[in-house]
Amino acid sequence: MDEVDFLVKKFQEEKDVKAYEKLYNMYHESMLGVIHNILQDEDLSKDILQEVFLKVWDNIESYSPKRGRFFTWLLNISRNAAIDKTRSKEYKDLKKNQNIDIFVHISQPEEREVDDQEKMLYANIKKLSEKCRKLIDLIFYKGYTQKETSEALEIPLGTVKTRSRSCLSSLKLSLNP
Amino acid sequence: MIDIKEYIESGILELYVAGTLNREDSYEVYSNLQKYPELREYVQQIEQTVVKIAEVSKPKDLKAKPFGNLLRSLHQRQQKVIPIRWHHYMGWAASVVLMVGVASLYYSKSELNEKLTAQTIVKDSIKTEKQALQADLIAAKLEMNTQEEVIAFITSKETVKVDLAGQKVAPETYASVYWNQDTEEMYLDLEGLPPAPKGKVYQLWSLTLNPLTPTSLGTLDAHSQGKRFVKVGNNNASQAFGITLEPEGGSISPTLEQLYTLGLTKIS
Repeated sequence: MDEVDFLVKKFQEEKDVKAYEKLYNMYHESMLGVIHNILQDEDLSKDILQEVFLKVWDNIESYSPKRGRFFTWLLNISRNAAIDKTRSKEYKDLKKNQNIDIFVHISQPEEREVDDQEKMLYANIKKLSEKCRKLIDLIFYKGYTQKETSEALEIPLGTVKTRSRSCLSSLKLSLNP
Repeated sequence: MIDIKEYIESGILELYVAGTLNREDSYEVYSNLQKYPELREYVQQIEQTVVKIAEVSKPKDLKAKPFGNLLRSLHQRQQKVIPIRWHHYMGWAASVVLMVGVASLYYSKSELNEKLTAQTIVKDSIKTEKQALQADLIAAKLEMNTQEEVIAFITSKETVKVDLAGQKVAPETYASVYWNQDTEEMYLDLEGLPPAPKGKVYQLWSLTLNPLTPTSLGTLDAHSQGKRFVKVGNNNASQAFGITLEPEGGSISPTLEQLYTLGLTKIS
């Protein structure tokens, strides 16, 4: 059982606020990134992030490790909440460009404090093919099903699976070099 | 027995993390993860990569609101629910209707709620007054206490320290609570709170978070008189402490816009 599983269990069984806070600290930045990738609006993204974590508080009982990782569950809530928002009139009035992939804002690493792991990630992203960029974006960050992805990218269904692996592993952070 | 290498290369674990597998396939992966630590490690790596990309994908200046805001929302939402928990009284109301007949239908939901609310407020205000008195008494007594006693209490093994961090209205403030659950006593170190403005007073709250319920631990009048340490009794199973600025005499429920400091206890 890794740390996340332990925290989730503690939060789920006891509604332990410390565990909730730790999970929030672990994931809020990435979920903000996921939401912002869909909405492309900073203020709205912050609001939705808050909604997402309220939902996590309310619905943690419904999470089951047997159906997937906590991260995946959270990712799903975040993507859905953001996508829901794009259907609102308030959002449509903002006229945001929704055809932006997750890698678009990762272009200027020199502006950030960057560690070695991140440097490598940037270097690998630069080398990433257009096909891979699209696929990773749709499968992980836009919540496309395998079928939707195969249609959107005009590739065979089975290829979605193998390509998910090959594309992402070219980016994989080296934890155990 | 599965071929680990082949299994990894199939791409099923990526789709598992992305959440696009159907329920049966997800369960199969879950079972395999329990059996093979290599797979678990691989899944964690996928997750970390996906997390990292998402983190760096957002504009540099985009930052989430502080966690305290989230807690406040949970809290405020809960406050709207309490004390009007209509569904708790549904069964009871239905039996009244049955007993006294049609006339009871006029005993509308809102009237009932008003009564319930009024009763709760009366009960709460008595409790608050009592607690405020209690805090004052203890504070007065404290003057006679020796400094050694304070130090002994604070350094005791049974005493936990809870740091209260400055919130939105007063981010530069801070306070510490030293809480001994055995003796049900707390010392507050209020060095990081500015003097309360005229006509206002700080009030200490014990919060339990499921459901989110504030309990007043009294107003901090000793602080208004220039004292740094205040002693307070606390027999609640507190999960968090908060200090708000309230009108003189204190309030029945915390004014959240004036939440100065907040901190979670480790015991929760």
